[in-house]
Amino acid sequence: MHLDDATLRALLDHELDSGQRTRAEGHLKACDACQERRNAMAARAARVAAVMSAAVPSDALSAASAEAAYARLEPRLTDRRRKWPTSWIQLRRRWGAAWGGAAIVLALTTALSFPSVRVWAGEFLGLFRVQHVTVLPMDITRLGALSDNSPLATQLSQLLSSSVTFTRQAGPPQAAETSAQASQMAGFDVRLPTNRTDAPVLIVQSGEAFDVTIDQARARSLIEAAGLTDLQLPASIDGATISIDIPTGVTAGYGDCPALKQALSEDMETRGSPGRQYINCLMLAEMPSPTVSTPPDLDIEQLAEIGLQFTGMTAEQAREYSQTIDWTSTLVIPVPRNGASYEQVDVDGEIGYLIQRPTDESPQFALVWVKDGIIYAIGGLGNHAQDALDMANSMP
Amino acid sequence: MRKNSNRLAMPESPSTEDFEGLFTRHYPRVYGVLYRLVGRRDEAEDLALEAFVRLWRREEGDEPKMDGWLYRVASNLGYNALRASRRRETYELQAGIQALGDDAEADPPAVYERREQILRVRRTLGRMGPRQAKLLVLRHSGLSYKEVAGALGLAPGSIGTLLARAEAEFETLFLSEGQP
Repeated sequence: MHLDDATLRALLDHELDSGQRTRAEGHLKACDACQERRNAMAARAARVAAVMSAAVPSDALSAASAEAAYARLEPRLTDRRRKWPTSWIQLRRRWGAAWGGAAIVLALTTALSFPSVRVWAGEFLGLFRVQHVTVLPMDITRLGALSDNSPLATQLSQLLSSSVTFTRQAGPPQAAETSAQASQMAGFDVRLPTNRTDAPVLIVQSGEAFDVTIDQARARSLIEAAGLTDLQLPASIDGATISIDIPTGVTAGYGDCPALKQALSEDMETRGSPGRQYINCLMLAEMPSPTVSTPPDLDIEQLAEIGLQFTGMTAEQAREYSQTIDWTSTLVIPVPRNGASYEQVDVDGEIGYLIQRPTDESPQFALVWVKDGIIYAIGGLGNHAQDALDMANSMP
Repeated sequence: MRKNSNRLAMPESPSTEDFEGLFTRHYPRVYGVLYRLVGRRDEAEDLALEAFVRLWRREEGDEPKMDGWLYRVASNLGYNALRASRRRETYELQAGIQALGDDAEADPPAVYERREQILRVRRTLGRMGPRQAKLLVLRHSGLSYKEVAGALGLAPGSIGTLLARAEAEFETLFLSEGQP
């Protein structure tokens, strides 16, 4: 009986316990065939190790300063103690960095993702409102450059922070006892699924409104930093003010959803992870469409194409895709091409999208649809997407 | 407290201090794993920080075991970054160029050779199956069999065999990378 590869390789790596090692070494002394295999395995391991280590510059690893890196990391750790407004933001955050990056891109071009019913014609402004939802499969590699700490992200963040003026700030989340109370607080008719007999945790989160004024020079340098040098900004963009109004939303948590209870906790220190959401928790979020007002001479389609190029599309692809979307009435949800799958589903009498992210770390799903001007989303962990569909289809 | 007490164990709601200690212990090795996969300092650092952010935000109910989670996320991030780029050649060239800059004392032929080596190693890892590539990199970053097993969701007893296979595959592919 010869030694198997697992034992030989573990012997080389000193990964056998003393008993196993004694037995293996005893066998090796008496077995030429195993010695030969051991020697060949050791020689190959040494060659591979040499190649692998040669590809790492001598100072590359020693230069990894944990202290300096932690200083960069620390600002990103504040999220955990922050009050979580609604599961809308939570859902978006939980999709990970790519989604965060997508959100940043969308923030820049938010106007594009939303709506065109001219409810409020205004002589100066076009007003958009969400009527449909669609997904945009995107190559997320480019968005990697927008991860929180990259120079590009810093530049984008500076651009946004210097150009955003809040006209209405969101207040803390409030609990509601019943859907009627939530409806009254939120100002729209909150619908809850009828297939659930358990009472949800209801949270009402007031919305916010802000104006974004675009500085063409800064936007230009950002675009150049992103390597999109051939991208043209429309002249009408300079100084254009885009007003975004996000209405009050309601989140209903079914099952064990500590995130919602914690969101209501006043005690910041005793609050646990605000993003915590257990596997059996399903969160339903409802919110009237945000409204986005833009100057009438702003070329929305052209702006949309810019946003699309930020996500990695070529100019031609962006133009083609842009022409298929009614940017004035469609909420576009970016979906990482390699990180998530999506399917169009009939839900609540409308067409919606079920987006799933089947990672082995923590599978997630979100079901999103729009009905009568209200955007709905049900999100959760695990593979309970069917529960979300059943829930949505039982809405009155 | 979690039931499993290991190097990654931390209180259910870790304080910033707990987390900083954990970060200090694991960052160099997490960074090492990522550097080996992506070959660029800035990229490796960004991805390492992303892995820790995910650890910070990790939910208790997401997954029963903490073991290896951090290294699983880190190696997934690194491997995906390695594979995802459609412009891998450019990417790897950049990695090589950065390696040139990193190695101030090297003479030009040695620098050229190192750049070639980096390109070949990245290409080879990119051609390997995800599990083999990650296993190889984790092991070469100093993780024990038990830690590698925890990170990849494998039985510790299988690591020896898988490692031997991964090395054989790496060598075959690496040599074929050198062919015209």
